[in-house]
Amino acid sequence: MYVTRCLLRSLSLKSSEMCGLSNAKVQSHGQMFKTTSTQSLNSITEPINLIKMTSRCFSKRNFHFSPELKNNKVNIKFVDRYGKLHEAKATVGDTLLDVVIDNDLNFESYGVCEGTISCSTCHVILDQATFDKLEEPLMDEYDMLDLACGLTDTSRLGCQVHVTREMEGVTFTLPIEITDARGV
Amino acid sequence: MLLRNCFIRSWGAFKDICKPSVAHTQHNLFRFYVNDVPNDSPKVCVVGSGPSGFSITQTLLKNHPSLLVDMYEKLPVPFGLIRYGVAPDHQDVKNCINGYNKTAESHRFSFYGNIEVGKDVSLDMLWSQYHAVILCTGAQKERNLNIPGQKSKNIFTSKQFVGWYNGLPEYQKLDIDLSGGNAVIVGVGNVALDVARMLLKPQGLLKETDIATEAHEKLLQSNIKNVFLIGRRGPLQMACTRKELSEITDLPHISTSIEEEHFGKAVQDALKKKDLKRRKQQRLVSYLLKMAKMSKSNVSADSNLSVLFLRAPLEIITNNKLVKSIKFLKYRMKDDNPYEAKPVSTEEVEEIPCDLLVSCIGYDNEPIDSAKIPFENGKIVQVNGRILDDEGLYACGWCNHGAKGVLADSSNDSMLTGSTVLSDLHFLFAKKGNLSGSRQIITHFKNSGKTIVKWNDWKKIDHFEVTSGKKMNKIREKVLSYDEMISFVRS
Repeated sequence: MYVTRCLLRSLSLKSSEMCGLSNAKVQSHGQMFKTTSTQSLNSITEPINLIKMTSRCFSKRNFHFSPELKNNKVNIKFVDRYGKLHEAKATVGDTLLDVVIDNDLNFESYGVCEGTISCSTCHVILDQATFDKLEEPLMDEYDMLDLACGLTDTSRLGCQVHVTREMEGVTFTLPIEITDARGV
Repeated sequence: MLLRNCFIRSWGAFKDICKPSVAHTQHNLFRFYVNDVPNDSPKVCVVGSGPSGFSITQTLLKNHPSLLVDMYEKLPVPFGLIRYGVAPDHQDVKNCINGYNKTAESHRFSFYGNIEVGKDVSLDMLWSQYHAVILCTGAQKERNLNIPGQKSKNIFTSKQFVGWYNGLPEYQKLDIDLSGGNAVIVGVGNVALDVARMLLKPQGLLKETDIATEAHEKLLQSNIKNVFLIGRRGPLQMACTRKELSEITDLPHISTSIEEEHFGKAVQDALKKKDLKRRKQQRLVSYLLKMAKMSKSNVSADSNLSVLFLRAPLEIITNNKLVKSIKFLKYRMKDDNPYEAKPVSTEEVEEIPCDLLVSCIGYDNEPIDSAKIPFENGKIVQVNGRILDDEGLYACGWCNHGAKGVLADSSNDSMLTGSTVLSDLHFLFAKKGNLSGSRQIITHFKNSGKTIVKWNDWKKIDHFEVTSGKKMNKIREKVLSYDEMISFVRS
């Protein structure tokens, strides 16, 4: 039964996840390994290997079926750079960058450095209340936010904001301004 | 066997449903399940394979169901400054390559390396074969010091020095002498700080990176202990970031010298006014002021970084044609607005000992085809990336707005120019009709014997570099000659 559920679950996963191509998720969890598309796809020609691979994918994704962990999800929203609203399911503890990737929101050039605080492309704008509840950003985050276009008082890097239960229903906005705001 | 083949076919078909652009695999298992793209798809040419080239390719492929992108790159290897500009100890910045690799797997994307637009193929030819041509060629023209003595020995531009340690083939034979004690770097942007950091960082920290091995070995023998960073203006105009500066000043064996006189009342008042647009500058200058005030009595320091403001290079003094010292004209800031202040000469001349000089004073744009591309005040004339109305010629990235900005700026500019291209595409397709794209161009090259590096060829070079690197405990050991890179095409 468990094997069947794995197989059914694997068929519902998007191919990018199967191939482990979402490296940012791996990085943001601090895991050291990366999968490549060729490693995964080479092993799917046999049904047994397919099942083995899906269970490996699940373990990498920390995907569980136990009922109590269903409460670890909150519903959040993103407004993209074109003003369109996207709904997303977020796991408590994940970063906003993880959420964008896991929900296949596919924002252009979002999280380019894969969560290593080396760019500012995952810049999001929060509402004041949510912003105030967060811990002070690290110096590295301040440094990269300095270079972000459309910087606001409630800006953060999406790869550094961890989802909490209190974020149920909260909306995060991607900056629309794309010209260089630094001006100096 | 039949059941196995059925399984492969149905799995491949299911992947098509899940994802419009199917991942390209080494074994090409699923490629033939993707519908052939119709001949009458719009064809776009991207010139340059750096961050802006790939970012705009991503924008175009994502937002149009059928257009094709052909990317031309003058070097046999892709990625531009990500490969040859970003410092070896900044590997995280290079993570963007993972996204670019994914883009390159699209069946609507083709890569043609070792083709220089403007030399191997004209812009006119490209423009006649593609509905849109997008220049992402960066800023290639180095600025010169333009002072007497600048052709002396052991004086290098940032392009040369950075290219040397980053494995750019044309700079591997540079005779860089690191036996003297004093290095002067003219410029205070992030590139200047990269050069300073390469000279001052304990070399053990670089040995596992993708730094060129010979350059690294030379740096291991370096006697450079004093590095001077010279800025033409004041702290509030300093172009680098706080992060880059702290990467050097936080090193345990480094002492830092910053003149406190440049942080007068006007500067300190400017720091107190909250201004989000200036936040980067304010945080940098606050950090500089803190460093200036600290008497960093670092007993274990064996090297020194001095940041000198308000000095313009005047003349290089040599001994037997080898640089010995450099004279600077000292300035003071004139206006009340500390951000906009202009430097004014004090007539005072200062001489600084110098055994190695690297100028990091930025780059200018130079049009590929000056006959076709309108160019004013050192910039391509364009509106939202569109160079010529109704013609299908565009510019994106540093070749568009000058050599400043980081990855996020390339991404943003790509989205802006990409939107412009997409909005023009229907009109351009109606105007130009079906075009052949790369077909005639590549046939011409095949007939002329020119070797074209395709994406699969790059993957062979990539694999070789990573494998060679592993043997030396490095991330990658770059191939250091163009001939060797091209030899992979024939292998």
